[in-house]
Amino acid sequence: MSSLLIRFFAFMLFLLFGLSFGWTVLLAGVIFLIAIGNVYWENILLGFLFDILFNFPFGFFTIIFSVILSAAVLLDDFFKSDAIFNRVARGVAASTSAAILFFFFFTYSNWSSIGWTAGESAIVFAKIIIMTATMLILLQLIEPKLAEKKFFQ
Amino acid sequence: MGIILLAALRFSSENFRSWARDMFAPVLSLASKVRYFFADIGGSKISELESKNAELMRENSSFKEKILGFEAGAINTENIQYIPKYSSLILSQAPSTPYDVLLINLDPGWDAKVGMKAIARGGIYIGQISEMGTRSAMIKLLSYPASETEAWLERAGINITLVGEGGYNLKFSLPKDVQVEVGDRILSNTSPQFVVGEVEKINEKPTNPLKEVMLRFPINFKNLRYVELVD
Repeated sequence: MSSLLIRFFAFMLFLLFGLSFGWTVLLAGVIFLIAIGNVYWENILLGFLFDILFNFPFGFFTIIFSVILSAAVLLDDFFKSDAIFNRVARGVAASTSAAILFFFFFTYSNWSSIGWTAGESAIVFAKIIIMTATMLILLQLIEPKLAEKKFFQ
Repeated sequence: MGIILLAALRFSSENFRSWARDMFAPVLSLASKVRYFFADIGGSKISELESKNAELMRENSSFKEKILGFEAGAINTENIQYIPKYSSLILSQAPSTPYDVLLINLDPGWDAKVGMKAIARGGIYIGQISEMGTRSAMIKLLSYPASETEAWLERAGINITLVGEGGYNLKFSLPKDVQVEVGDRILSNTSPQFVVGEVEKINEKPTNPLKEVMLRFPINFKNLRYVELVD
């Protein structure tokens, strides 16, 4: 029950932060969860909500979220443990899938400027990687203290 | 689950999207408050200066127009000021999205309609309402990917077609013999005219008979909080 509550709060927090600070923040949050091995399917609803609110090319957010979550489930067979290498691999794979999909969508909408769309996709990739990496490093620092139950002392 | 949601999206009408936006207006409003709260921690001074800068740019443009009018001997006493109909709070803006749109707040009593022009900082034409509900509306910026807008190149005195590139960037093409320089103003083809942007970069290739001109909006959207709506 408490897990459901945490997931609900995480969902609402991602929605609020996505609307406040940008869709890359929302995506980085979901990718961070994937990197630490938590694939929450309700996050596809975040994509659906963003699609309804902003009316982008058909299915922009829903497809990106569906694909990265599905890819995460497939990758879980290869990167099962919680070692940092596995977390980085899951994060990089999800970020790369998101950037590639963004490139295809943006090229479809703006096919005459393929160089520009490639540049934008690279920037999106870099942003997501930086945000996810920061969150992973923070978690690596906090985790031992959580394990020792010293965090709240 | 994704396929079901995509099917739902496929059959969602404009009315449904507007209704959903109205339903989410409190969440959008809260999100804008969160964003502005964090922006104000270190950036309120920057925002203030940018606002003053845009106002001075507009005044400068207006004076230039008057001087040109005097020089040409055609003293135009007509009031060139426009009257904004409504001033609306931005709920979610383009940095939140890759496709250059703004979500704005609407008062239920306003007589806003699709096609109304959105003006920023008192004289910069940025886009127009493309979808609207009772409490919120969506503004599609001129820089929305592949959107086309008629405009006026002031130096050459010719009509041009601006093409949106996303990320607040716009471009247009011109024959190589038409003179254009970095800093030249682009005005809207509306009455009254508004500033759209300034030429930022000119790309010429020996193999291409046309040159490609890039421009940007003369404002920082990050610090933009309100837009004015004009008929």
